[in-house]
Amino acid sequence: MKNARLNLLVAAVLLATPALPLAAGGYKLIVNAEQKSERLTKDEVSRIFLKKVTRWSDGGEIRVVQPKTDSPVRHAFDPSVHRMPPGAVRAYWAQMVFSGRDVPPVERANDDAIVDFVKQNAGAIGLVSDGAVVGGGVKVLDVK
Amino acid sequence: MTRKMKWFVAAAALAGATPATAFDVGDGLLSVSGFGRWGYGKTDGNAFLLGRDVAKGDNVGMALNLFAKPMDRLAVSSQFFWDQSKVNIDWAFAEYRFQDWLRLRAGQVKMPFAAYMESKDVGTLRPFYNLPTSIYSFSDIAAESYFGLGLSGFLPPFGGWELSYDAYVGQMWLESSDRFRSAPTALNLLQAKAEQYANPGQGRQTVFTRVDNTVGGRLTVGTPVSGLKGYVSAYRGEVADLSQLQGAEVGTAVYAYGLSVEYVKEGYEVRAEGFRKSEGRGASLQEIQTGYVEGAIRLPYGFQVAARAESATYDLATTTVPTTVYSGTPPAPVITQYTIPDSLRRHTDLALGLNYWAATDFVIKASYHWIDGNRFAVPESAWNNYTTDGNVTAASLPELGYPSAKTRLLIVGAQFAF
Repeated sequence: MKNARLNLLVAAVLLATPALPLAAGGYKLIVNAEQKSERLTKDEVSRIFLKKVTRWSDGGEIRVVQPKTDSPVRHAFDPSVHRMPPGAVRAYWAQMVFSGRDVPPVERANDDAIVDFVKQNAGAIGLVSDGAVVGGGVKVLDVK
Repeated sequence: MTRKMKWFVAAAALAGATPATAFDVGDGLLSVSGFGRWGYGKTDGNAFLLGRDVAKGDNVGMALNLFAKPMDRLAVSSQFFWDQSKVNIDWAFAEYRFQDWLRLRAGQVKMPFAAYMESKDVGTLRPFYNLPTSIYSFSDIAAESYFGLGLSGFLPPFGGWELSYDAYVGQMWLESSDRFRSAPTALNLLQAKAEQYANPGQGRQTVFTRVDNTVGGRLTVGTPVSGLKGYVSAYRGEVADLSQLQGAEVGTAVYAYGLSVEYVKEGYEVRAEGFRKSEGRGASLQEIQTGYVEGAIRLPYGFQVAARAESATYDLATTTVPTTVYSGTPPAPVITQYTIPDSLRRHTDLALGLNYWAATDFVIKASYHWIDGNRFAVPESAWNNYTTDGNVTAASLPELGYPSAKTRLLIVGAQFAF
């Protein structure tokens, strides 16, 4: 009887095993067209997205918007820019949240919603897939 | 539904219960998040952490965090924690951000000390169900929060290095399950004993000490090596005069300092911390040296194995203390000399753990611990009935019989966050 229960428990746990990470895709960074910044280094972008830097050089507030943690864009962006996988970035934010220091950037479900957010907020910087259509009111940053 | 089917449904529900992400209202203007735990503990004799010789499975706790940004540069945050016995405000403070490198904090602020103190109740951020006891649990190395003012900030990076800092002034409450405070007064012992007789079985399990004029800080160093980070933490304060039983001598200095290093990658993590604390003076001087090393490796299918070695020693200026023996009816106190046994002044804990991460924010943990020393592991009878003051407990040991210095502990639990 005990073995039967154990087998069922193991089967249930394996059924609930986390899915493998999604394949990584390309990304680009966009800012509101009013922003003077044309290019940023990867280190600068990392500090902005981790909210270690929260002001543009003119003193305006930076508002970061990004896709959800499990998106292919994040799987490309986080290791490339933060030098951490998305799981480690999530752990960083958990530490920040539970120590009362800050909360993660705003998240949107898709590129269109991110582009809209950046258009509507003068201090916004957004992370989108490299195939995203950005249109007017937004410009693509050069990241070195 | 058959018994087997019920087991399957219950196990599947538990394994698949991935919590939602934090609530966010107004694009970060108000966020609600939280965490919780359930644990079962069984020992082979002594009581230690959540473990008892008669197993306990009713250890539950949960917290809610609120974070709001009512103005551009102003953030306020708080945390409410509750378990079976109480609801607490863990911390509540406001932070005004003049610059990224200069943030002013005021209120009851989470203590920036060591690697884990700011998140010590959040089980999803660590490989073991419990943090090392001699640093984070009832050891009074540091408090969970301070009351006062603080500065915090991120400094500009240089050459791949990153620095952030915290500095604070104020007061704090140290919480300890001490059993051997030196130089007690006869009055303290009488008060403690009277309380015990007035409320049988309700003796205090912990001793609180208020530390005033506390000045402290932490420097966090990010290195050019991805995942490698270090912390230097320190504080100094003075024991307040509260006209009540406290854990340390009134007016004496309390200070602690230490170093933490961690290397965290996606598949594995290694962490080591070491601290030294001193308090009291002369015959009441007490010094603590404590440290641990832990490592954990992720395996396929969400499993993780972990190991930890922790050691702490407690040095007292004198191991012979005046204490009280009671005899007769009603009990009459007689002050005598008592030698504190070695086992009460040491704690080592070797632990192995196996975890299953059903999701990033939901983990089931099991760990087995080999403990040596009675600094924290004591018989439950002593824990419940005699821990009103360290020396009363020490004095009571001959009455109770000396506890075994060896304890084995099994912990099984679940921890989650959202």
